Amino acid sequence: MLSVVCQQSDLYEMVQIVGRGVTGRSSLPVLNNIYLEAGDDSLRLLSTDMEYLTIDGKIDAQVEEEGAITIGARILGEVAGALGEGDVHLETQTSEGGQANAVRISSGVASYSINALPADEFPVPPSVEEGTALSIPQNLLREVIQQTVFAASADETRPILTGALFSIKPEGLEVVATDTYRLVLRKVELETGIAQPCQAIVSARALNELARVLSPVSDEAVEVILSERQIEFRLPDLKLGSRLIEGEFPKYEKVIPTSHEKEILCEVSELQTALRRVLIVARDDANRVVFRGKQSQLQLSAKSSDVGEAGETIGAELQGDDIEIAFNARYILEMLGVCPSERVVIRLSGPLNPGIIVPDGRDDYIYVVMPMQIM
Amino acid sequence: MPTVKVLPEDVANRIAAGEVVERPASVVKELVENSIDAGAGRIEVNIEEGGKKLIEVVDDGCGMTDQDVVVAVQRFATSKISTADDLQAVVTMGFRGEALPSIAAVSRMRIITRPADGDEGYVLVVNGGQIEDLRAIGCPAGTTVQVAELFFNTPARRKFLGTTATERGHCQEWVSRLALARPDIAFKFTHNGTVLFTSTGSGDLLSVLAAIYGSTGARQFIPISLQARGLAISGFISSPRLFRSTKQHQLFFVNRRFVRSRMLSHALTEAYGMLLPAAKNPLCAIHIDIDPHSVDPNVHPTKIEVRFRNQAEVHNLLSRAAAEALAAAGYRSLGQRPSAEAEHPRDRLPAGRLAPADEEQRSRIRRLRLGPSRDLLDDRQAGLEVYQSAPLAQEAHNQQRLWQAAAEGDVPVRVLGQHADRYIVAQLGQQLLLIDQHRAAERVAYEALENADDQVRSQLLVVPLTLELSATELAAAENHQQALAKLGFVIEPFGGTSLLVRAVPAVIADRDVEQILRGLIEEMAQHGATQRLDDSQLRASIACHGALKAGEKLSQDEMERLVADLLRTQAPAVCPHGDPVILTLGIDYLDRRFERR
Ligand SMILES: Nc1ncnc2c1ncn2[C@@H]1O[C@H](COP(=O)(O)OP(=O)(O)OP(=O)(O)O)[C@@H](O)[C@H]1O
Ligand SMILES: [Mg+2]
Repeated sequence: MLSVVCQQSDLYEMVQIVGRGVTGRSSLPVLNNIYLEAGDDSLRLLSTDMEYLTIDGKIDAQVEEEGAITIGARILGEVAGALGEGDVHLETQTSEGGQANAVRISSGVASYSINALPADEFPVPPSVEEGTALSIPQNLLREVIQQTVFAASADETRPILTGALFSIKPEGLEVVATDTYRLVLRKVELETGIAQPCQAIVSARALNELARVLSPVSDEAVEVILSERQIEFRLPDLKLGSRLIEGEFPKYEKVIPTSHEKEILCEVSELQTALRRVLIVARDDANRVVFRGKQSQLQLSAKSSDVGEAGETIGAELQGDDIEIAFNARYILEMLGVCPSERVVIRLSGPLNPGIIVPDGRDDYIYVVMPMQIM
Repeated sequence: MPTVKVLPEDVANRIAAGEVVERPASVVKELVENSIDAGAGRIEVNIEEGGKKLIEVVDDGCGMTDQDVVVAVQRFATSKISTADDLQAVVTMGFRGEALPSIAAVSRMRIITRPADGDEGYVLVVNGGQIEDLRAIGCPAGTTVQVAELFFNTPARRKFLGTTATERGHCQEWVSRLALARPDIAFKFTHNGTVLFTSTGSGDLLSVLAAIYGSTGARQFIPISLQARGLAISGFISSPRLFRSTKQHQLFFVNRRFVRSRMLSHALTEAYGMLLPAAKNPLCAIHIDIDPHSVDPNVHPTKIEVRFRNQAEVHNLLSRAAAEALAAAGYRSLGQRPSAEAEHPRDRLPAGRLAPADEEQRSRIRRLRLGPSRDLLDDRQAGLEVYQSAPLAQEAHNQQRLWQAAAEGDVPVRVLGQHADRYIVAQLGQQLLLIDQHRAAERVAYEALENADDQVRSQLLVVPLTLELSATELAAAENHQQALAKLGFVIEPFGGTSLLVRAVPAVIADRDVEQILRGLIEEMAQHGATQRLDDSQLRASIACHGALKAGEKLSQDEMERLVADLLRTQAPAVCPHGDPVILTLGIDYLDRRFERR
């Protein structure tokens, strides 16, 4: 029978993290719970959707009796948050038949008895068998995820595109995401120490959860373990596992243009503000914004028969002929939002050819976006 | 006074004969069936210009002697049955002895044949049913039948043939079906010299499915098998992730003969229960082998329908087999979908269907484009019997004026909330409105598309989408390439049965574009060759697919925007398919129900 004492702040923080793995949409009621297990001077908290996300955390605890139980994620979060700072005692309670059916949570003068389900009903997924291992600084991995997953698709009917491709090569890592309208590629030079290149498609949802828990400043390493069917990201007290998405990712090398005819160089922040203003009108026209490069100016304009017109001109450095091309402004803004530099280069060829946006002065980040066409 | 008489059998058969040859595809079917009956191990089908110019079927079967071949082109000549008793247990594909004569009568036919043990082959030339020549010729064992210029002597029928792409599609569809019926026979199909389909004859049904749906498509099929009560079910059914909006892809083979059967379709669909979205249908290639005495294939002249002695039992067994197959693959249906019979007939229209084929509905849509004329309102009342009285027609007219006043802001509309993630509850003057959010969005999107007319925005794809289609669907897509482009879909045939999609309408970029496009193409395929879908029908379909779905939670802002947009449309109360969008509860009505008055 589980009985442990832990710190309220540790418990609350970990429940917040692990609770994110509970979707509330599961057909198996026990999956709405967090699995608690006491042992080894620690309390383990785990949630899983048995699909794309398993979060497995550990906090320091005094173990009075080893054991395991499961309890509703939402209620545990509320209780842990409501308690004052200090020691929290958790203890399984049993029914007359000897079945564990509640958890007593007490701290100071507060005391709860919360309904629980026995641990043996909870399908604890096995940890990843060993596979290809890779280690990458937390802050860098976080940046890579943020710079890529936004381009993944939300359309669940094409599962492959709802993930990001991790392509691991001896000389580094490449992460790619696309929703078919745009494609983003981020390269990271890294001592991977692997001989055989390998690829895996990782759920964008899992990656988003991972990015939330990764530190933006610490360069402490995250261990990435890749097996045939799963990927696991390991931090000292937290493991995040995800089943890989099966299928073949689009051949991304082929769609990235290798040449271009014109270039527009401009300030990220200026372009962002201008686009946001033009978008007010463009919203009524499928977000369509016309980019017109002329001399040393970039004109942005939108038009909607319902609403009216909008236009704005910003300074830019141009190479090549004048050009006019239309993009979905949202696609451009999303990239600018995570762009790691102050200026961007927009490379273009023709109004029906892909546009390429890269941060000025960097060659490790490429965004390919397709234009819009009037039929 | 005329009396009803039973027709003598030969007369009855002659009437049926006219129905054997409908289009090139029917010729392909009949000739290939003959080759199958002749015990062929390889069958090659070569057509030119969609079969309108030439259809050639080459087999390595038993061949015919010179006497046989002359008899074969005469009516009711068959080597396959001779007594009425035989008809009870037909095991061959053909049994009427009327296919060859019927085809010969309306084409220029040439049969080149040699029995395996004969030293000499023969060529028989028949023009419009007249035997013109029979002579010896050197040729390999087996039979080649060439049918040129189909319907050359019946111009009326020739005129009704579809485009080359359409006819080619139908021919290929039949070759696929026959290849699925007989995975043990190697098939090859060419059009104008290009190979479009081959099967290996290895006996493996899944490899034939892969030849038809591509290997990715085939991976979505799960095996089904059951043996009980003198009946064996085997084959493949689609996993719940693969579905279509029509039943076109439900292929059933009874004793290796392709059949259509509502009963079998129903049994299959029932097994999926809630695993499939509403109005979507599974795909399958299912073989049912059963004692020939328990089926009667002779119910339709093209032999495509069957009747089982014990329909109910077959239904239950198939349903059980399918449910077990799904369960074995990890899919368990949680509940039954309401059976088609129980539904209101209107509700049976799959969501997002184009204007249904019946003229009444279509004219309703046409009228919708013209806006809310009196005509429209009256028409709706005629359709909905309850509203038939004259004062109600007047009321409807007043209602229309009220919508207009609301749209112009003269009468305030207040959105009170959302019910069941499906209906918006709003208040307009003294009226309580219940608005179907999906249909409302559909109405709005439809008019937006219509007003945009030549201004459709198309979003190009960085990674083109590949669709695996059936031959008929591919043909339909090619035929409607222009129409699709006008809507924003830029497509391109990609060899085999794949279609490449290079751009999609920007308004639906965030939706499930693949399903939307598939739905459109299926509708196009169903509407056949002669009938072109007009722009408004296509637009209605896109609007429907692109519109937000029932079951989406909406914020107050979103609801207000939708209601305002809806009221600005020409006919807010009816969706592009002619279904009601707004239900109005007047204060009089409420008072009456509460018995205040
Ligand atoms: N490819 C072939 N190889 C050998 N014999 C053939 C071939 N095609 C036709 N025959 C012979 O010609 C006869 C007439 O063919 P036909 O298709 O007209 O009639 P059927 O197949 O007997 O019946 P049904 O009208 O139902 O198809 C057949 O019974 C068969 O004996
Ligand atoms: Mg025949």
